[in-house]
Amino acid sequence: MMRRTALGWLAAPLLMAGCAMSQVAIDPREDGDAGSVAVLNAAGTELAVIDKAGAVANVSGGSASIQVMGSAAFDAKYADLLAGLPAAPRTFVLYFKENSIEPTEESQALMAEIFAEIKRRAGADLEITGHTDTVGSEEVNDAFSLRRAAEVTSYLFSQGLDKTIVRIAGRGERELREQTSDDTPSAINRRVEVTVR
Amino acid sequence: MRVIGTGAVLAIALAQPAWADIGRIKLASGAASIERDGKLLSVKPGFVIETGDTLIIGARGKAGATFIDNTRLSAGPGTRMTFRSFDYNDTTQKGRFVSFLKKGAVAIISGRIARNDPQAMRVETPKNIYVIRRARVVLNVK
Repeated sequence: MMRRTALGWLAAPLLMAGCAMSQVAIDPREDGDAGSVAVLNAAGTELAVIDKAGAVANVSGGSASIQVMGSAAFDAKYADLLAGLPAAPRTFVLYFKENSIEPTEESQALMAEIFAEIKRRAGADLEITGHTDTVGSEEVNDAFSLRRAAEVTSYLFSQGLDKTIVRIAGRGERELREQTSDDTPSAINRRVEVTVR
Repeated sequence: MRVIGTGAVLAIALAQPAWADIGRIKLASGAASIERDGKLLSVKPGFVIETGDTLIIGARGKAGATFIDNTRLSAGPGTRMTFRSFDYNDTTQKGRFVSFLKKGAVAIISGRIARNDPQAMRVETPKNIYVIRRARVVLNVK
């Protein structure tokens, strides 16, 4: 009897190791809307959804058990992992004169800041995205926003920016900073966002 | 409206070749490498990640990466993770990101792909699939 129990204890961790257990946890420090994670089995059937800060799902194939982990327990296990996350991307917003791909003077001054931010980050890369206001058609604004992005990119290249670290995009009028009706000029919406990652 | 300058045309042309990138390594220490087409490449900050790459971290290593949709990833010791598919449209900021975490532990802060489509960011493991919807999470496969 005793022997069988002891054997059972020894065998349990070995069996679990062969099971490909996995765990998913939402950072306990998330406040407000912590987002969510759906847990599916290999066939794609949903087993559980976790959506609160500190929520943990311990999963093994077809079953998921949900618990809550406090910050202390979470950090004891995952602090190093979280510390290894790269810094959040930083976005600089450059503004333009009306109907023009010419940046305003304030925005030209911001260019030096962009270079400083690139230097601060190891392995930095850039996303340069143009936006327009709602004057003109969507198609024209897609093209125009890309031109604005290209113009800024070209200027940064002339200042010595590494050409291999840049992506450019035009978002047209999809992402307004100031909500306006169609065909409304807006200095806030005419912009290029330079994101340093 | 000014006509587009030749400098800007050049900028568009020059920025194109880099578009095979899906992300970049931002920090790496210890044994951290990418397996690509059967070759093992050691990584350092600035290393360009491509679709199909497998990130392999040694017993004392770690690495961090930021993807082009702003997804951020930290991989701990003993991790093996393949970036199986990555589609991203810069104009709509929508796409799909599927990776396979064979073993190890990763922290993920989801980016635009997850934010703009709740079904689009998936991490598969040997026994399960996780759909990450705009969250800051840790995933651990034993």
